[in-house]
Amino acid sequence: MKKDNKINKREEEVNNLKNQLARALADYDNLNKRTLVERQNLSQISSLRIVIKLLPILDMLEDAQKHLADAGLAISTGEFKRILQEEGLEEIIPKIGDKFDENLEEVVEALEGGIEGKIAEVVLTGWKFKEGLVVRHAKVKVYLGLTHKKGKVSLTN
Amino acid sequence: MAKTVGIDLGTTNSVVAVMEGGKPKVIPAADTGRNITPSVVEPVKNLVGDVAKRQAVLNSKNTIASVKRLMGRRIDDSEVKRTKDMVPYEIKSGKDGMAVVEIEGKTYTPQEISAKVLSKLKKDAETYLGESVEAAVITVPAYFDDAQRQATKQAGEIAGLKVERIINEPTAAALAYGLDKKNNEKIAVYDLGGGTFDISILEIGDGVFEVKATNGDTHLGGDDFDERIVDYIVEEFKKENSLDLKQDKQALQRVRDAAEKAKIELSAATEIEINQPYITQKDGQPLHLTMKLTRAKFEGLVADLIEKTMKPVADALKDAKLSPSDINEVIMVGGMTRVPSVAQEVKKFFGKEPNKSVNPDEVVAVGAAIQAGVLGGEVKDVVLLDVTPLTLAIETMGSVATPMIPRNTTVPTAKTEVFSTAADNQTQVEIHVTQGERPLAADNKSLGKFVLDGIPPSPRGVPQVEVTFDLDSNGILTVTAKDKATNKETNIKITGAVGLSDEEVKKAQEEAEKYKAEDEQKAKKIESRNRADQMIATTEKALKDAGDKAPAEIKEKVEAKVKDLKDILDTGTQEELEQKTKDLSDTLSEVGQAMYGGAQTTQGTPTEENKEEGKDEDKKQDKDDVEEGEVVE
Repeated sequence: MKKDNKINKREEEVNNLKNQLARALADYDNLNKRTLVERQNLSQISSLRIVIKLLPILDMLEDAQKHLADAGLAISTGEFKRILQEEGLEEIIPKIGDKFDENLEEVVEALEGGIEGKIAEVVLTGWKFKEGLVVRHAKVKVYLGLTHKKGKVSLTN
Repeated sequence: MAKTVGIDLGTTNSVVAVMEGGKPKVIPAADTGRNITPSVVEPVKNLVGDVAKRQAVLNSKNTIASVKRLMGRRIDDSEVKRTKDMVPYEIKSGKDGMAVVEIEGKTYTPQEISAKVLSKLKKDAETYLGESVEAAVITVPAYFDDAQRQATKQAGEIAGLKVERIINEPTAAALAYGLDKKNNEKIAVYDLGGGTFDISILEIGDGVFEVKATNGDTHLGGDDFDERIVDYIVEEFKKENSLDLKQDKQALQRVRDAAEKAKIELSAATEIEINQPYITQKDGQPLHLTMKLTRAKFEGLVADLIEKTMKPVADALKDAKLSPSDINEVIMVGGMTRVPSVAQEVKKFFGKEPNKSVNPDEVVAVGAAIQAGVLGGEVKDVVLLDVTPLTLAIETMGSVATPMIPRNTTVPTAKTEVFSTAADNQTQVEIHVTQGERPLAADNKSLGKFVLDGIPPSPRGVPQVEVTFDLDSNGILTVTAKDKATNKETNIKITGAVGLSDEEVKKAQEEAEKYKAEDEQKAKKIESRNRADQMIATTEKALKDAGDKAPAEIKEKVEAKVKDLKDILDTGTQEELEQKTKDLSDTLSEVGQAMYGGAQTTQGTPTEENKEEGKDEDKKQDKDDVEEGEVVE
């Protein structure tokens, strides 16, 4: 009886250890797979950090360009954008009148009138990696449509 | 093997974490790569998280945020009434008078809305883990009553998760700090999040946490701090330009973003600049927002908000019948606790440094994941991975401790490196194994020594001795030295290389810190001495090789310099050693020049090639100079 107990205890211990070994191996295997994917995305991830910090500077230069309309500045911002494109990024430029797309854009203001859900104004363009992650969503103003107190009526002209 | 995840289902943001390889890991959202997901849901289009937040302005009546404030509450609850005034969506009375939300004529219970957040986190976890997730531990505030806990559990079930356990947020935070191993301690958890403030007093005994008291302010958080900065910026701008930025929605949005950024930056810097050119226009002229904001100013702006949290803290202690000095541990939770003055106030109140080493945004989810790991049988004492608390090193020339296995390396582990001899015709090397963080072997703890002999006589630096450190999971260190020429090897087994008491480790680390500057100085001097020694050996060899070809006068000059250097080898300062080594090196190159110069006169045909060769020789010598003799004498 005592011996049986001892054997049972051993077996339990063996099972426990087997179980933990299996978990450890599985975790390791998954880690390997994930590291592989992450390594493939590494260049994206590493440029992401710096790009996020640079975008506001580009915005400032573009604001300046709106006021100054300087040919040299235009060339400079063009070069700036070219570098971002070389890093695998593309600009998200929503079109006025297009339907708002929450995957690429962010509504910063909803305007009365117009056609419901259509873009009224682009406040700031966005940037995304050509394959995948959006670095910054474009900021847009969107029409609410003609609103009545009860329910909404959308115009379709 | 399906895993159980830990979920912090928050009012503003939610986080999911899982145990992986015995350690908690926060899982990033698949769509954003960020570790936190906003608790925002648009149920009609079924949008959850950041994507729901982005369309909220357009679709405010259909976008539900802060639904946690309604969980398991009746429509006549005061918190529900307060929430009703705050949010743009409809809140109505549902079954049994419970609060529900109504969107486009359809009602949703808070459970159903929360379930959508949980579903997203479940899916994110599955994407990350590459396997299905079926069970979870979900956290709730300590003050949640039975109905609220029941509702949270239902939310999990609707999301297709078996809710293994509902645990208190402060308990989860304490678990993340490993405080479940303490006994009879009192813990205060200070949780200042995006929109709510909670203080909880816990008592831990026999691995069980008991909530002694809770208090807080359900409408105080990071957003209020941001608002103070925004008001300040707008006010300052008005003073300077007599223009109200609040009238310009677009400008105000930029000020809001800048304020949030400023708040985060001021946690690390004492002064920052806010620069937003072309923020707005006046009379057709662009206006720029440029201002400096110091941490002191910021702290002044929010001092009363921080002060406001201290009354609930005092009340909670009173309810628990404790005084601040009775509290053994203070834990910080929530992003706002990163603000230095928040930590300072808390420290001042309790008279002790609060725990804030675990990311305060993630600490609750981490604790939930640990609880999930315990319930899933994943966290057990049997195979706890151990690390070497101190660096294991080998003594090399000049008594330098050359690290083989750096501290905090997870065991079992092994490392092999090849060393050589320090002197010509050296036939044996002594392997001296040390443990500690100081650069010199003599200052570290000696673990053992042994000798490998029978090395065939050869010039210094030629023999190859392969040294292997093998540390197994029981902390037994086997050090093997092998002569690669003869394959002769010896080894030593050292036990107890890992099993140090906490005090021993702390002492060793403190000493290393204390003597850091001094040690570095010493190490530099030894390096100079080794270089001098190497230079002497190189020179002597060069003179021998040159034989009669080198002119006697130059030879004498070089020999004098060698003697100069030898004389101060053990007594000179670092500068003297370096100076004399350089002198010798310069003089030695004269030997080369003279030899080639001599060749020119005999042959009478000076060529570019010869000069080049001379240069090459110099280069080679320089290279010899820096080659270090990593050697055991």
